[in-house]
Amino acid sequence: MIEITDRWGLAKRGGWVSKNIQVPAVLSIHDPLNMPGSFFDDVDGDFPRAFAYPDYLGARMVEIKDGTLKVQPVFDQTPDPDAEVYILGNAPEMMGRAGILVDRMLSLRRRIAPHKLIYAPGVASPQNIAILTYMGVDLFDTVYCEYMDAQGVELSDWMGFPGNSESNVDKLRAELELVKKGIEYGRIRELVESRVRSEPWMVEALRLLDEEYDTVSPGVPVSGDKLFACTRESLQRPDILRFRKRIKERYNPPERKVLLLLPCSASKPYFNSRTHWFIRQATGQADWTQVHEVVLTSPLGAVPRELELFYPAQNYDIPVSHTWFDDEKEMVLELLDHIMKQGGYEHIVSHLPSDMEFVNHHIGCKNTTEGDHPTSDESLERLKEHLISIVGKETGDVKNYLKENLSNLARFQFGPGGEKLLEHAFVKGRYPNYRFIHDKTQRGMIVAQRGMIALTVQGGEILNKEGIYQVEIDDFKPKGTVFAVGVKEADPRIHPQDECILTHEGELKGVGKAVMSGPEMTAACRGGAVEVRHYV
Amino acid sequence: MHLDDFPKRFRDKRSDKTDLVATWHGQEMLKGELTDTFAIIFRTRGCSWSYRSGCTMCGYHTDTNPRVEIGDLEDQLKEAISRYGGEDIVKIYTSGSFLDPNEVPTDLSTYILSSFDSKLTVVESRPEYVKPEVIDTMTDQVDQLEIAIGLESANDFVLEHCINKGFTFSDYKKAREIVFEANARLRTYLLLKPPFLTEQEAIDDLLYSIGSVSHPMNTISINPVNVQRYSPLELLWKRKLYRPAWLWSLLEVIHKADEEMVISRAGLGSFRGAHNCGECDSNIVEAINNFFKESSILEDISNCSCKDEWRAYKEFEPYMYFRGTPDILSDRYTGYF
Repeated sequence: MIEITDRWGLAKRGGWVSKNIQVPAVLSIHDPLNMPGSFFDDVDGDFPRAFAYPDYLGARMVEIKDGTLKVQPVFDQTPDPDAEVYILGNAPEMMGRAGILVDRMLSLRRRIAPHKLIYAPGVASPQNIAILTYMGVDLFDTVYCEYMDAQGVELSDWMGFPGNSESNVDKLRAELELVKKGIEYGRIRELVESRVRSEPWMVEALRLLDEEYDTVSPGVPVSGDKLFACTRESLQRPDILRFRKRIKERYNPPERKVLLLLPCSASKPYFNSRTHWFIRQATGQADWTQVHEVVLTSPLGAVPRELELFYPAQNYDIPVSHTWFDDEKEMVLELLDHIMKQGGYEHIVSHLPSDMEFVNHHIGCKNTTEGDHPTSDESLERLKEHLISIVGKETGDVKNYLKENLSNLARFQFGPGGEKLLEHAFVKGRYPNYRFIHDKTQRGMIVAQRGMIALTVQGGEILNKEGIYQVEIDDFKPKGTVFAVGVKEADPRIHPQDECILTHEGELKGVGKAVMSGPEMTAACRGGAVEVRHYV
Repeated sequence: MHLDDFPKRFRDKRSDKTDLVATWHGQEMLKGELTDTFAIIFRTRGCSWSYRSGCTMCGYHTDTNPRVEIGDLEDQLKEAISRYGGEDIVKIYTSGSFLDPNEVPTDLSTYILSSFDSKLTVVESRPEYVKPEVIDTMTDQVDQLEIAIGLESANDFVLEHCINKGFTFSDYKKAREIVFEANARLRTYLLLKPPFLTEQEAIDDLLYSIGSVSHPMNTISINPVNVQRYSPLELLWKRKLYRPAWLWSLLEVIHKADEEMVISRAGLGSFRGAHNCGECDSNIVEAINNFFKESSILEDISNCSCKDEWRAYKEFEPYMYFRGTPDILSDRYTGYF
């Protein structure tokens, strides 16, 4: 029985409970695998008409049943749902052919449960196991490395060169350890981005995977540690793409008079940075409750102030050279257009540095920096004066301002219906540690480090009414951890690290933090599914 | 795509020429003596099997023309006779079966045979065209007739699934009886490394086949498979799913087999034919070319570092591709998971 403990997208880490084997794993062909027999032993037997390779000849599947665990070699057939390990029969044929590889891997993965394992025989090298793990391969072997040993080729994580290496397998295992660490610390994507650069087909594969957002994204956590967006592919990472998609699908700007466009800051969250501290000194002198601040940035595009804590807004870092690439510009302007269209702003004010002139050019608005540094005394003075001239000095309805902001965060986190959490509630506390309260009971609070709302039972009741982010469990009192075996069905929108509610036949049983995605907890029968925070 | 779909896609690559495909002069051992040979390839309408299905490694259909007429064949014969230098061995090939009356009408084939003054005449045919009355007529025309049959493998499984040969080992054996009854000689072509076999399986298959066809009146001809244009095999090869046999494998077969045999040189040492690392190929090919004169020449081949690579290739190849019966695959993974 396989139990997955960490996951990121399609990559996962875990092990066989009974056998003390960890995945991802490198199998050795010497032990305990046996040499395959020759099929001459079986010439009169029932051999499939079509060979098991190559795949394009229409190969048929063969089945293996071995006691407790069922293993199925597959090509393009319908996988048997009872198997736990699927063997990609024609893996070597697909190396270097990114389109076919990604297509086969994902079509297989879509038809089997997220926690099931895939074995790609005969292909693993220190160069490719990062991307292969990322696309959902869990089991590798030493065959390719040992064959390269014999050919006098020394492999590394970026190329093979002539040498008398006997250590290719050691290098493979060392790389495997890095891959495991990458999954454990939620940094596998960065490892993959650096490894794929050694060969064009691997970059192709990564780009093709990024186009398969719906398949890859469910397993990508909604919170995390650092995120370094160092490559062009980083712009399309599922977690970054998800942020941009949610701006379009889940976000409605608050009703404010002024849209204020701001640059991002190197230190995160933005409000902690020196730049934004200076800007706050200027905006604070006008009626800031009438001002909607939106930070324009790559790779997230546009980050409204209310969402500055939400992963990955407070986690990302990018190389800044003050040169904007066309696709970055396009992304920023696309989201800005969307926000401008949705919000009923009377005025748009830009307080952007000179390298972001393309924004002013696009919307033709007042630029209060006038090409100066955004924190220079002159530009801050101009910002202050301009805002005062529009909204005046008198501070407006702060309570409503906070409620609108939190309501937007709730909707961003839970989708339509999430804003109900703030209905009839008021916000208490000091930013960012806001709590929202209704009728003397707290419904939830922002956990600054996670960048999201954590629910109380009362908050859970509201989501239960809306029917969102539900995990339907058997009838028991959820304490500690709810295991996947106890989950009947879960909202497919749930990602690892998401806040979710536990229900049984319509009745709220508790609230907690998801460990796996909704589809995975529905399918899996082992492993923790939800860490319970409160129960009824 | 399935193996059965190959003919439709590839078998239309035929020629519109009507002349001889080729002739060449060479040498071969005959009764212990080095003898000059003359080989002719007639351009006929081509192998009947290639119209119905076709073999996986065969690209000879490119040398055939469905519109060749008797007059063209007669012109080709005149041209061949003009190139003939009185060699004692004459090999008469078509890209098909010389004995198939649809390719070469019986009257004409009889006339062709009588046109050369040789001690041994070799013609090729699929076994289904080897019929007593035809063979008897032909043996009358020449000193000694040798019927060459492309058996490829004595293993019916390989014939059916790897080669798509369209006949079985027992069909070959029936033809062999007819040939020997008529006091003709037999020549049997065997392949080294048909498609879909691993290197080791190919060696085993060839040794088994050599043992199965051994006979004093039979010349065994080893044909290491070369990748021919417009053959199904070429597709496999282009997708890196097929590597022509190593020369080391060929040497292993030569060493291990007790029978006398001739080695076809087509493609040896080239990328599309049986080859090694590129460094040692020319020496080994030269030795193989001359081994029919002096068999000890192969003992002197010095080892190249690629021999270790070949051993490793044989060891790891079975793991790279998934192919085998459920039982084999089951054995392979039993105890692991």
